[in-house]
Amino acid sequence: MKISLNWIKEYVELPSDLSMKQLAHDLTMRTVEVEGYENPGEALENVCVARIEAVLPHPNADKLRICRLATSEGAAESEWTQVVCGGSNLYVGELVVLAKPGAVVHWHGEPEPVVIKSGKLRGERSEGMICAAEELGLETLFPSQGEHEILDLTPLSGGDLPELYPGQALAEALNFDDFILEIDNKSMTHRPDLWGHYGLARELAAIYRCPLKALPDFSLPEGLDPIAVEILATDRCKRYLAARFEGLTADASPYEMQKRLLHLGMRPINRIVDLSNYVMLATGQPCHCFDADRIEGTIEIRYARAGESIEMLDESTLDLGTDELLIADQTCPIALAGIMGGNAKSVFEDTKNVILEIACFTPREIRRSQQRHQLRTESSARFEKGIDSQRIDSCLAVFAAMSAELFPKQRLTAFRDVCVEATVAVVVEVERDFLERRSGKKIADEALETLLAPLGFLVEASSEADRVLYRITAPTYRSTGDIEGPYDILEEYARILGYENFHFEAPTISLESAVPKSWRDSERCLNEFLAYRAGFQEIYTYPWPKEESQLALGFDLQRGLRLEYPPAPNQAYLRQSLLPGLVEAAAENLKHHSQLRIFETSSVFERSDRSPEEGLEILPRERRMNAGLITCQASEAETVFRQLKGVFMGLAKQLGLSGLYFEAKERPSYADAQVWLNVLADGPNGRVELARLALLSARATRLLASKKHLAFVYEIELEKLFASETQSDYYHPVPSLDNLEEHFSIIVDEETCWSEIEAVLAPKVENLTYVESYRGEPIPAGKKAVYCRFELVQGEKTLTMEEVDAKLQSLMRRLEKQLSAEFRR
Amino acid sequence: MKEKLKSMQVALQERLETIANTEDLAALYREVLGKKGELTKILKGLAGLSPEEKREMGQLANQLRDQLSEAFKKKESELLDAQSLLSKPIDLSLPGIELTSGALHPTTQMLYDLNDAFRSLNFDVYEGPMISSEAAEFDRLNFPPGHPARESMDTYWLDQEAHGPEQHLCLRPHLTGASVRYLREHGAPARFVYPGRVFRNESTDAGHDRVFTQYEALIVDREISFSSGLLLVKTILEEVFGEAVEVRMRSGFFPFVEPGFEIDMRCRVCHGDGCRVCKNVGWIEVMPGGTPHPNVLRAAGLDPMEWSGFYIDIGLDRLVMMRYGIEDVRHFHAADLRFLEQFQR
Repeated sequence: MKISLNWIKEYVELPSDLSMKQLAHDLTMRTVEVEGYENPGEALENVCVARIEAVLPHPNADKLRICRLATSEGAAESEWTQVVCGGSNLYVGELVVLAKPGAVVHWHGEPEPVVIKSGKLRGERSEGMICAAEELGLETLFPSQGEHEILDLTPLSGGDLPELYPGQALAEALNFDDFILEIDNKSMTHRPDLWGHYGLARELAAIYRCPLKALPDFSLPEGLDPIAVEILATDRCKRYLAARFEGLTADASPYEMQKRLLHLGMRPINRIVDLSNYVMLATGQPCHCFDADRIEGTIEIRYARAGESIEMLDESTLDLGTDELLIADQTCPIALAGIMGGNAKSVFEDTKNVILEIACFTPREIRRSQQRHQLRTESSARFEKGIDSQRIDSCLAVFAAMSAELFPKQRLTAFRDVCVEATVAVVVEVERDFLERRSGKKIADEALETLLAPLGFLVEASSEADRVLYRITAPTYRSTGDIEGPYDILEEYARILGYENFHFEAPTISLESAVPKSWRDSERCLNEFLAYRAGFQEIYTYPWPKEESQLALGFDLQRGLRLEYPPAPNQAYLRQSLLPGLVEAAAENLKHHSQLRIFETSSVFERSDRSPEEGLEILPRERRMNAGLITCQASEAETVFRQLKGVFMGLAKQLGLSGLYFEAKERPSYADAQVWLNVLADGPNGRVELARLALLSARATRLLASKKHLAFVYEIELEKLFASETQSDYYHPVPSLDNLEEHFSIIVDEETCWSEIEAVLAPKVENLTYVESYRGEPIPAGKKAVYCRFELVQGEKTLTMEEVDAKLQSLMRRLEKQLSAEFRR
Repeated sequence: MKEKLKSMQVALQERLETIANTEDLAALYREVLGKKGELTKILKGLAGLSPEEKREMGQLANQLRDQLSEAFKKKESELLDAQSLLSKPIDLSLPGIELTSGALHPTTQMLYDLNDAFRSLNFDVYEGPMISSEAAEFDRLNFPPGHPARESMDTYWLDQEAHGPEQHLCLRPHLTGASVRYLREHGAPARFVYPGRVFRNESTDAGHDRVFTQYEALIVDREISFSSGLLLVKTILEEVFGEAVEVRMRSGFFPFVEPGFEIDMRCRVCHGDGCRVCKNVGWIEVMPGGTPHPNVLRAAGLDPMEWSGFYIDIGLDRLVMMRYGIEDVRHFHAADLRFLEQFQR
């Protein structure tokens, strides 16, 4: 919202030495955030009034003229400024706008500003530019009559504007000197009282402890006619005031009013509409004028009927729901209550008599209607905050006073005020002790009243023994949901005093109990292991992978949760696994990376099977997962798969799992037909599957959009992983004799797996390690040589050569017997 | 004999000077001090001398042997220090071979830094569910009925049948609901942080994304004045920026706090003089905070006249952006390695 400092000053006498910067700071610290401020006059720097003393033809251009301008009263001919100009309305004695070198203008109304320099135009010297209204952004205030017309100030001087003189700064001539403050609307959603100049003036009066002027008085004249008004929706409209003013005119508003509206971001329309807007900007209470002569019969405040529609002021037509509030006469809807007037009975050029509407609507439904129609107006923005019913009176008083100024012949002829329910002032009782404890500061006897009275609060103190109790009555304009209890009084007190005036203390820290280690520590351990030891890059993905990705990985969308309004039509289902998101990320990254190792740790979701029961929170199944992806080429598949298994083995050590088992139990939906394993661990109730690793299936690999790349993926269920954690390290006595390192190579059938060899050897040796396999000459076809290393335990004394041989022989016999293995020397 | 020994010593000293490698040195050693070496022979030849000569010559010869041994050792050390083990030199200017390491997401890194800082102040670390209910995220947090944040314009609601606000489910639009869950579970006094990702249905630009990471902390105790909250704020910012920062609190409005604050930090670019980064204010808005609203404490089962506290609610992405000078929040969830790999630690 924009606020004019000049307007504020009409209500409150601010300290004379107060700078704009200080005011913005104080208002920001205590009340609302001032996002910025600017002086509209500053845009007109180096722009002044000048008088044309001579108009000469341009020797080199038919459409250009050479103008000689006086830029001070009684300037001698030698002092005149020469400017080349193409304006169609140049004449001697004309008061024009001169943009001197350094001025910023919008050439022919172009959006990009340019800085004026002196130079030559078609060979003739030109010391600036004579401006058209749109070149200075003044076209709304001074509409041009024809093309190529420059702004002629002559008729305005002494009329709309004061007497002008050559050399006068244009900002001064137009009375543009003001500060326009930009207030962050979000910082005052809870303060409906601040949505007008008077409310902010009141706040400043409290901050600087200076007097606030009262709004004009108004008393209803005797003998007014009634106006037929009926509130049918009494739950939605708490008060409705209608006043008939006669003898108005819908011509253009006076210059000062137009200028002010324009600077505050509103477009001047005509004298009547501008007046109602002006009154709203003053008081924060929206009001609306209907053409009284077009209204037929009783004005009703009622719900829309089924199938009813309304043509709005902006000529759009809205279809209304039956829960929407309308203002209607006996022929048609005339306004969407609190949001916008209808076109049919609005103010027209010939409007002379109006019915002024000032009303109080409940905020919630205003908000709903404006959302439904995507129609946010100055009026709805105020009503949705909740305005007290009493503000209608100040709005009427300001309207009546201004109307008398603007329309000398105006008369108030008819009046009706229907009040269903007045806003009740909130009363809060609070102990001084509470305020002192919570603010950490002592409160002197009169301090609270001094601070709060300027904001309109009535403070009554009573004491009993050493307890002081305050009974505080809030003003009605703070009683629509803003002020509710002792905490609100604490806040009012502290902010007006200024938070910078409080001494900040560290809270005392009690060391009653240590914070226990939790699964979050394990999760961090896992993430750091993957990143810094296993070489994976952590990524974050959105929780709504594309449907096609989820389907390609074999997930059943019906088990997933669906968003009511998804970010994109094909991203309606929340992830059941992190893998679709990882595969999507891999596809993107493969455009500029040849190899990837990525992982993510986050939650996945599944529809809950539990049946809902009224009033009980039932959340869907949410599992914490870790998943990763490694890309490779087909030739590297075995190595990369082993590396991935290695990651799991390292992980088991890192997290202190007593053992991990790789078994092919259940094929994951995204796995290649052959290449996948389930990972199990010992749990308190036997082995549980806690992870899966797989080569991404042919179908899912298509998502990578790369012919060269395969991807290995894994996913770990963190809850199960952390449940199988035991202890990170166990101590074993250091052996007195080192193990003996041995190795051999055996020839087995191609189909024999390492795990079968392992099963034979592992119980008999230590640190059994697979080294490599070899196929080809001299190994017979259909066979392979497997080379492995292991250690023999020595125990108490060194093994003799014979003992070692005997042990190796025994191992060989076992292999021969169980796997028909042969030995390769 | 004496002369012989003397001249032998001189000759040896000269030869030692000229030796350039350890092999030659070993050969010379054998020649002189080896089993069949010159000096060894002399020492053996002493047997035929008279006892007096024997004593005198023996003394001299032993002395000489010790001196020569010392000289050989010294020469050997010199040669070892002078030689390289490599027969061919290596090009020391070749680039280093980097270790292959991944990294954590920059937001995760910052999150862990903050966790460490808060753990040192005895804060627990907690996380609530990502899918939560209207009751938990709005009703308990004192959002009035019809508050705009409850609308589907702002919050991602699930498309499913709901019986009451407890079953009207959404992706959590903020973390704050988890604070009440924690208090209901653990009671007061309490001191905990609860970081995580949150979700908003809004149009995206450089400053807004649909998913972003928040970091909230709450302290609840009997005698917490709102001024104590500043310590939490300073703790965080000093952890993030590694230096003392100046902070201020000013009036701000959020439904779940009363009084509510906007917390600003002195602009680190201009140190308060005003610049483009801080829009000439000298201060940068970093987080909202405040005392839990009485209705929030009541929802947590606590008596607001007995218990008080302080919330802070940090946009973690914004802090990461400030830490590194990142201009667009959408980088964080884009999973683009060209961005993420820059934050290796």
